[in-house]
Amino acid sequence: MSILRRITNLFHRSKLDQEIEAELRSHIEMRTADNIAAGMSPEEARRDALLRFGNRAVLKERVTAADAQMFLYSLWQDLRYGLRMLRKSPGFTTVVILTLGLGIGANTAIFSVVDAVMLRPLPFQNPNQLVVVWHTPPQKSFPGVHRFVVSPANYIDWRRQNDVFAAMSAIGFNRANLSGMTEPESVQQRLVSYNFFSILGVLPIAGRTFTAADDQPGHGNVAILNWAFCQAHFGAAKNALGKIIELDDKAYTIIGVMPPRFDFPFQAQLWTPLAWTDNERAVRGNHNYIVIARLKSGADEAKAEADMNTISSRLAQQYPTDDAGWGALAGC
Amino acid sequence: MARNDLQGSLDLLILKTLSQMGELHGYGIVLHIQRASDELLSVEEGSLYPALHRMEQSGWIRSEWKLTDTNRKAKYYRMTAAGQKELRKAEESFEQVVKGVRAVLRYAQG
Repeated sequence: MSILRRITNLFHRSKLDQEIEAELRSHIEMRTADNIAAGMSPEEARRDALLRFGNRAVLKERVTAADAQMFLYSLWQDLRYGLRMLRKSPGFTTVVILTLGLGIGANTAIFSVVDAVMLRPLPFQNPNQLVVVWHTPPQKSFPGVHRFVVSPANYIDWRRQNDVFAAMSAIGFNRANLSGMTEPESVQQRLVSYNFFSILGVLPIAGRTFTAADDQPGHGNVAILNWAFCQAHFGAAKNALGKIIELDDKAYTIIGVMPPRFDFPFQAQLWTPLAWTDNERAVRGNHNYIVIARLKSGADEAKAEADMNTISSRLAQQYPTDDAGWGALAGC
Repeated sequence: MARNDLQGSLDLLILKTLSQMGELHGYGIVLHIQRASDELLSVEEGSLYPALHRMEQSGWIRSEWKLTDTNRKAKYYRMTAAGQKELRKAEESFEQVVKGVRAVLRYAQG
């Protein structure tokens, strides 16, 4: 059946209208001529011809409406026919449904991966230059463990002595009690070196990131918020700037908000400076920090590892009590 | 049901007319039905054209613009093979309806 023609008719209404109009006019003229032949006056004849038709505009509508009505009806018929056929052969139906389901599912799964891996870039600049620098612990004390977090004093020595990293940052983890808001809450706090954000190459959407001054002991009372956390507590980013929040009973001024989806590392909700005191900087035997670094251009992971090994053996000799057997590893 | 039957009988009249007359324009169909039924049936002209259009869309009839004997342009309709088949079906179902109605009438009279 000419479904196609009916659809084209829907788009060519004016042409169809003209044709119907012409056909109706021809009919009326013939009737008028016959009426005159039967003895009516011309006016009377035409009036009679028109009266028999009723409203011509309405009639034209009815002729074209026949199209749309038939289209919908045949569509409904096709649909019912399809359903009837499917019900008659349940095996085939099952295969069809499974095929569609698997197809749609596989597509969705693949798209999710493509979206995450290819379309949505890592939120970092030149991510191939970024590495995590780990301690490798003495196997006697930590058999089978090859990656270990780092102590402050060793991190500081690594940073000073290495020749392969453009910058290094330590990251401490804390679950802080947030008070001073409507309800107390436990939040994922990250304590970071001031250059943490610049190493990653991420800019805030409002306010600023930390400066070297913020990282000085006694000056670390500033905080940068994750976007979702900011949304939940303050709404727009600019509303948060300058507000005071209390973390573990210490007051912090909010100075910045990071862009959506940035929550590195591990679902961070807010960041504050490390601002180590001299005592904290001197801790060598207590390992509590993740260290990230950005490779100098021209340096690669192998070169970084060689350099870190040299530094590690030097430190092991220098501080045998704390560092004997402790190496380093640059990677992920 | 009732609506379909009325529509069905108009289709039947049009198809039968075309099968007897070969080729006719809308006005000609109206006149023929009137004449052939001894003026008993008069096709409402407002219903004729929607029906013709619908039947053409269904492929039962075909149309063509031509000149009449009096040199007037008119759209002439002709039945197709699908129309022939439809006519047979329509005739059969009409016979059934007539038989059924007659049976009911006889029952009522008896």
